Amino acid sequence: MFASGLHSTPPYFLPTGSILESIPNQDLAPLIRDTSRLQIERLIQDFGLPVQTACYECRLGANDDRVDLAACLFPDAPDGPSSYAAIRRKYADNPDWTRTLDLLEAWSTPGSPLRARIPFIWIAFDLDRELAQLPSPCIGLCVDAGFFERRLHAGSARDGDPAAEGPTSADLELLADSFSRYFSGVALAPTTKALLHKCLRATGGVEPKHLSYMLGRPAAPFKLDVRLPLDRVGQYLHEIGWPAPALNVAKSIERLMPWSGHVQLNLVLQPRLSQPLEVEFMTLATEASTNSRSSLLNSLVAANLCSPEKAAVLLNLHERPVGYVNGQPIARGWYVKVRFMDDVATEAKAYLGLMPRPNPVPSSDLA
Amino acid sequence: MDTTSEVTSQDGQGAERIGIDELVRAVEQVGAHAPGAATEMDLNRSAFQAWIREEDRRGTDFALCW
Repeated sequence: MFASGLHSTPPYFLPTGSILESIPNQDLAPLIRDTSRLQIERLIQDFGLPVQTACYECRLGANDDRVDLAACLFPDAPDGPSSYAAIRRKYADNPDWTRTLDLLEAWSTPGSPLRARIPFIWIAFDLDRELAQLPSPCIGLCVDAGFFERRLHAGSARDGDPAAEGPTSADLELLADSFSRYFSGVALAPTTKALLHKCLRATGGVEPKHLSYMLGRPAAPFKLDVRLPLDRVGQYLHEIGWPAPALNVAKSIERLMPWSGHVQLNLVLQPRLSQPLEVEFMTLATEASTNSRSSLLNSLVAANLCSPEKAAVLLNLHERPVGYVNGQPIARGWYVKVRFMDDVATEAKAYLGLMPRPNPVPSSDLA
Repeated sequence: MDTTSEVTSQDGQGAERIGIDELVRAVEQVGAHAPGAATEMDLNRSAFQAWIREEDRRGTDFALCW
């Protein structure tokens, strides 16, 4: 995606390990404890590919210190071929890794149709236990080909701009089925295809964002991530046949987010549409003021889903949104995902992303 | 790189598994590689950089690509 000429400028991409160094341990505890960071630092040495975002996935409960890791990949990140080769050697005996690397290499090839259809790819690792090496990855494919254009214009579709229209449901069925057969060797079931179309057919500003394949998990679930206005959630869940009282679920979500805006839903479509419902809040930072962030965290603390100390870490990071590695700014951003069983919120996580910036950031004096 | 379609995976499942070449051909069918695809990539590149510049200018709210 980015011409080689950009490599002479400060990088948009750095290896995950370098990016993670931009926050000192004391600024993360108890959200992320030293033991988790040490394991992540050790495991990520095998993954030297420069990335656009390195992201901690932190459980917010007081007695839950599990932390996972994710990274956002771009097709033209520097050192791709050599990095892929090194990872391939290390994980040669894991078919999930082999297929993942085959995909990443094909995606990175100039002129590949994959590049035009998938602007970026997330790769995530479940690290919530002691591990000797990185496990099979979970893969999140951005299927919104106009993602950056849309974000630049704050979600407003622009007339006559094909990229702003988003993929058709037929496009997405083809993509979802093909990637399912590629990763899992299983075509989408007819019921899953029908469900996918139902999820995409909904009107009222529903935008498909990501297809995710959780390779390391039992049955390798397939997820669809959609973005929609908060006030559409209840009707949407009803329309897709959500297996819980849709309007009650929506009311519970609105209690956590008593302001207008958008949320994103992670929907497990295969093997079947199933609970819990995963709801992502504040994925677009400009939609969430500092007060909104405090309000959401306070509600989670009151519900015993977030420890006060972890909430304080997140708010502190929001107030100091830039760190540094070797003098280069590393921006910080986070959003929250809450799981619901029926209409009860049962678990909360924060996704803390760290993103290299090629140029000085005006707010750097806050760091 | 895997250049052939696999019939079965190593764990004995995956009778419907396809290889990377078949995956690429399938993705090509969605039309993204038709005329205009290069423009779409250029749009993404410029929009990404413009978005980063806009966030940096504002300097307090940094969003993940999600």
